Amino acid sequence: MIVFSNVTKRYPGGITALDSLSFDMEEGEFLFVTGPSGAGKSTIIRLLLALEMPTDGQILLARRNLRSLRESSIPFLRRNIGTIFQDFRLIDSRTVFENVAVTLEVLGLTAREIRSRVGQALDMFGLVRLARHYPPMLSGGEQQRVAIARAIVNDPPLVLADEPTGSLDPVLAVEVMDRLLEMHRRGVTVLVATHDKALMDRYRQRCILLDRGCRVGERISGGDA
Amino acid sequence: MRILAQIGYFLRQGMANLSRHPLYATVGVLTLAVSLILVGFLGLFLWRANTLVDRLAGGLKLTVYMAPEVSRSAADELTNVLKAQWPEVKEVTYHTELEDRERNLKLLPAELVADLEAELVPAQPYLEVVLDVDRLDQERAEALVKWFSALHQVQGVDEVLFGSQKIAAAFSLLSGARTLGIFISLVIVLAALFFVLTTTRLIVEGRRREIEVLLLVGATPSFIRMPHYIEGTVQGATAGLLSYGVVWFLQRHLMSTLRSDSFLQVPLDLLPPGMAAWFLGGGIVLGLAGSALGLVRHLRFSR
Repeated sequence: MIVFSNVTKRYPGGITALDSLSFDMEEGEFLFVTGPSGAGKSTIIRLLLALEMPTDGQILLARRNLRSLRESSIPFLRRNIGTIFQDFRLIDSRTVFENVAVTLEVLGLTAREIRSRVGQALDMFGLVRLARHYPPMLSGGEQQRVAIARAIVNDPPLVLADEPTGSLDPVLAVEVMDRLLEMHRRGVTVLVATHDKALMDRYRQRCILLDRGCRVGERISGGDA
Repeated sequence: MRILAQIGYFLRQGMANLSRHPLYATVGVLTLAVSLILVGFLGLFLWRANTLVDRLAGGLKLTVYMAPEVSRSAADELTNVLKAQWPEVKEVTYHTELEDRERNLKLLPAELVADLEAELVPAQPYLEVVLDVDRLDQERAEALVKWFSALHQVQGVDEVLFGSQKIAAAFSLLSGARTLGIFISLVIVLAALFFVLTTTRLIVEGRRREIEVLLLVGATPSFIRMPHYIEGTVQGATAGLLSYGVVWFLQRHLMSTLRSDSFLQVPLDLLPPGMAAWFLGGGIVLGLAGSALGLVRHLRFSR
């Protein structure tokens, strides 16, 4: 599903975010990418979303080389990726329903299809009663659930989560991780970038360790799956 | 079906953007309206400046009185000379002694005319020379005044009547108004564009998160732009009609003031028919341009 081959990302000013990083990820796999702040976890997510281009090396996503991707193809790539961020990235001026619906509106689905699929997603995440609420009226956990519902409402084959539990308390963090694992069990490929070792240790999944843009290890995180 | 669904989405979002952000919508409409009022007023003034000056200067006409014994052919000859010498002469009309008498009789008070024998009213043939104000500049106007001042020395010409100071003043006014008007117009148009662009950028900046999210979920630039274009069109049309209303009201107020003061009985018709369409069109173009330019920097996919 994902192949990073000697990927380097340097920013102007000489800052190296990734240094010849290589790893791969199978379809349907669940992968943690971990490391301290500045290790390059978020850069991996940004590169996979084509928000940035690598300075060197190759990235294959579903056999497509992202370096040779035309700009006009980027929206269509992103339609197959669900994204979840630490800061939720919700639109404050739209209701919960509208925030989730936006993914389907981009695909050009009819109003009836949108109502049906958003309804299912909201139901799955216990958000039906909050459908008409606006994000600022919700708790952090509720907002993250909306973000997850938005990420999966169009059934993408890949979900990328960048510190999805970073701004949540431990109980809510476990709830969010359980949701992500639930998606994984349904066959979705899930990549989670996190620095929360305690949380990772609750789940038995493959984990890549990064430090200053380099891969420094790989292990299976401990605990129950 | 998908196309219809997307068109429906664009229309809904365009209108929803206006209702979700009433402050932005109001600021946008007012910005566009103020710009249109400034540009529109000045543009209309410049457009009507020639007519205005022409009317103030009495139509820029000269009257060349011929000696009574001069024949029609001699008058025609002078007409040809005038036209050949001065391309700025738009029209020369020959009037007979009889026509001059009739005109003079109309100028006299009715009670005086009643007891007066028509033959006693002085009259002589004359040429009425109408100048083309568009073709004259300051230098040519001065040369023309000089040339016509010497015309009475020509055999057969009795007298030339024209307000030389009036023509010079008219041209000085027109020339100044044109130069100043063009300069001020340019400044105002640039200021209006800057004003509209800055406001739109601020409005779009307020929606940065929304655009960012749309790009993340796979929206194409045109998908993001369309609701903004619809919003810009609605705002522009509203601003166009609003500014037309303001200009119409101000013109009406100005005219009633001028008439009540009896100071200037000049028909100052700033808003000819069809001008509402120009304001509407101008508003829509400005609204669309603002939306398009304001979005440019936010529609980058990758760095």
